[in-house]
Amino acid sequence: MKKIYKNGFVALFAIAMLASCKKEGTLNANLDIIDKSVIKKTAVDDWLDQNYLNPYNIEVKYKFDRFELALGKNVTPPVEEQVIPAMEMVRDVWIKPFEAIGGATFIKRISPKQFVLAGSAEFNDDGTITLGTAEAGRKIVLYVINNFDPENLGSVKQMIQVIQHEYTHILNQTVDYQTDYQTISRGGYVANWTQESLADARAAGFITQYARSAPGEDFAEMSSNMLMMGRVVFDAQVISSPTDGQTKLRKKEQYVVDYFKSAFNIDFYALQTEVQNALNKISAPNLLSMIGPGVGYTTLYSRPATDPKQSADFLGTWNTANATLRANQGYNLNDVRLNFKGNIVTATYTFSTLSGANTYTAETDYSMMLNSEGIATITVAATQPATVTYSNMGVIRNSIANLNNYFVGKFKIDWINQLIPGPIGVKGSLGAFYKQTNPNSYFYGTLGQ
Amino acid sequence: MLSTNRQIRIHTSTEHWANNLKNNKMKRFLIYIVFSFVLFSGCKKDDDQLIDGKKPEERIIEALTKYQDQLIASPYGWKAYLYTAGGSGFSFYLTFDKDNRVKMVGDLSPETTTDLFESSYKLKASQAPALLFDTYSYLHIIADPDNAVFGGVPAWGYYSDFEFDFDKQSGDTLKLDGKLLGSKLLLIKATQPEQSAYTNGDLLPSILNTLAFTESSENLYLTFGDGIKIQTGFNVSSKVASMSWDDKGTFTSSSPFAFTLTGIVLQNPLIYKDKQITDFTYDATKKLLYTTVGGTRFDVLVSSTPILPLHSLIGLNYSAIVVPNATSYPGWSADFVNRRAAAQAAMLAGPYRLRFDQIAITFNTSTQSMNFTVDIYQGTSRFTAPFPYTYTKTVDGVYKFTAGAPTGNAALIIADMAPLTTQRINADRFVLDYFVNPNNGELLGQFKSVEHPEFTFTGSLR
Repeated sequence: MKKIYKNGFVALFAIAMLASCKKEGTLNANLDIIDKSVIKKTAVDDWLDQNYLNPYNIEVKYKFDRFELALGKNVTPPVEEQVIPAMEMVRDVWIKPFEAIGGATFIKRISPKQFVLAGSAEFNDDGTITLGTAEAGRKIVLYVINNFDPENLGSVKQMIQVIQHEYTHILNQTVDYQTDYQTISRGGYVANWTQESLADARAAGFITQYARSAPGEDFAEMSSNMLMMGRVVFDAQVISSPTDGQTKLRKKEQYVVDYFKSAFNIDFYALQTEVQNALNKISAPNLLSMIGPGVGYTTLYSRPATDPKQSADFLGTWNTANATLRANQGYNLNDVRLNFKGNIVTATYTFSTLSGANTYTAETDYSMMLNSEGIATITVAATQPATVTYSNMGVIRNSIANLNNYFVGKFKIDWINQLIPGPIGVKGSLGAFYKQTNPNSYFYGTLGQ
Repeated sequence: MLSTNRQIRIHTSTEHWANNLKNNKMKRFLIYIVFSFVLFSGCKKDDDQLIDGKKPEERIIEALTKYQDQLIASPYGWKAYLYTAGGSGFSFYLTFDKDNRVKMVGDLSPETTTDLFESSYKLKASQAPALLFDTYSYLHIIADPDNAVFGGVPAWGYYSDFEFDFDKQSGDTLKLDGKLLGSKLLLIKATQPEQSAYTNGDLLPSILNTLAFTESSENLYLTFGDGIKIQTGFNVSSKVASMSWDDKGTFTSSSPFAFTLTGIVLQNPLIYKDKQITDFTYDATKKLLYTTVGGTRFDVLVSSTPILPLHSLIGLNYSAIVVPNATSYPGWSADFVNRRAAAQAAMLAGPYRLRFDQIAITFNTSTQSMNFTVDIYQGTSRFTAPFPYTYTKTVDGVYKFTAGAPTGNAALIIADMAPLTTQRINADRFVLDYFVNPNNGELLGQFKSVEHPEFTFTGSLR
């Protein structure tokens, strides 16, 4: 009993001592007050709240915080008035397409929690500069905000490309990409990717040099470049790659498309089109700069008999040629396809016997020179190949001479969406050749690759 | 420690436990007292650590509030001088408001002197209370790592800061240190007239006046009445002011500077002997800068010739004196004209029929050597004949040249050149001086023989 009492006494005493210590006050310092950051919100802050914090729970930090950036590096903060234009562009080109295709809540469900904006680039010791970084799927740092120009497509693409790349990582953290993706370019991943050429990367099945750094980066480069290039340009780049690289790139493309479908039920090509539409609003794509091998479209296909709204001049010429061909030689002229091969354009006609039993192909080469105003001067090529399709042209040349002549002259190459509404810059867009002297005389066709 | 040991001894000693229960109780009671004393003192210690009975975060918030209140409360704003770690100076006029907004003009360019720029600032405690300019402003232009923005070094600009720790306060001046690079920022309470002047855009005309004066002549100098002229320079692109003078050796003193409403302010005083110069003021009437030392005004004066003697600059600012091909020339003595003519005639009469053209006299101060190179032509073909010398120079600028052995082309004309070389350059001592060509005002360099004062000649300074 005494022992219990004694032990109890000790215990009580100890408790009393401890209690009396505790009474002195909480040891938790209120560290919030040492940062006088209870700061009156500016119009920029309010805009960011309304457009990022409230709808998406994404914080956009534009005021300088040394600890969000590489320590010891000299990075300057953004000019305040650059913040809204940059983040409007992020909203329109990155968020909106995902919402349109992935559902209104897509970005709300999966998103980086923080954008950190820096005015300048981060200058690296090796003389390169960093334009964007991401950490752990949580934070994306966007640099060179002070150089951002919402009317300059290059400036916009550079910024959004960073986000698309990093966002792919974030998606991969939510649902991992197919593990056998990394076997497609097995052996092609290298540590010193900066030393490798783009041509070598393409030959090994990589869309960029950076894609060679690791399979995860490869996947992010594929998805971000497919989105930002658009399908036409991406396909043109793939088609102009060496065969083995082409096969691998196509395989990777399929993995990306499948991944978005199975993991998020997103139609990747539809998303790609949405992103391109958003970019087109900044600066409509110029058809001239999208024609040619490795650049974009390589074919233009026309079937004048059934195409709506071919110009009266061209249609008249076509019908006259066809009537002559039918009357004199018993063939019906079906269609024409222009094949853009750099400076050479091959016109490929198909014509059939009147019964339709047999169909033949006739070809002729033109040379096409572009001047700085975007006017194409087309002449008959001085030398014509001697293959059978060119011989076939010899058979029907006299009958369709007026049609062959139509393609000779000066043309302005442009979309025709003013006359025939439709999407531009995508596969299947319509392109037209307008006579420079008479814009009412034109022919158009479906652009392909 | 003591009490613990005793406790252990008590518990392990069962014999004492049984026999001296009462005694033990007493001991234990004592132990408790000692123990509790230790505990209490431990508790009490907490209070002792607080300075003025305030917790660290309370003191820091007090300091922050004190600084922020001061920044906001200065009725006419603040003058600011920023001296970068890269060694340049810039000035600003700032007003801070309670909503963490700061407005400024600065002396970076004509636009920044008049276009008020608003940006964000905040006070934050990290290791010390700090003032952070956390969105882009004129201050950041100097630090911008992209040197396409305002020049400087790629990745660093002018090695400047936009986050500063408060260092100390003296009177109306706050001294701050850059957090990343250690630039120095001075914030000085502005007066009402200063506020009106900045608001009226008076900084720009002040800078333009100062520049008009400093750029008007390369030969600005100060003199403090001891006969020594002090070359005074203002490098506007690097924002560095300097003084150089020759007083048995060449001395220099330099400091970063910034433009002010009245002229120029220096980061550190320029020091000449016991004189300390801290700023320069523009005099609109006399259209010059002056400084006041010990209550006495000293004007910055303009000279038509360089302030430092030629012997201090030859081989450094000027690499050569080029004596033209002529029969006579401003600054040539009759003796030189005759001797040159004699050399010319001898050469032309020689086996190679050489035509004497110009002489380039080049100085190399690091090797203490001089090359006396004669251009000689055979027909239209030009050859050079270098006569090598080493030299010694007294602190007063008296040269003694020692001839080396001429080789190559020079070896062929040693005898022909003797009236100029062997009999004069090799034998005499010389002083160098400036000579202004009276015909066109061109600044020439002149050789004067000490032993034969009648032997002088000049040439262009290159």
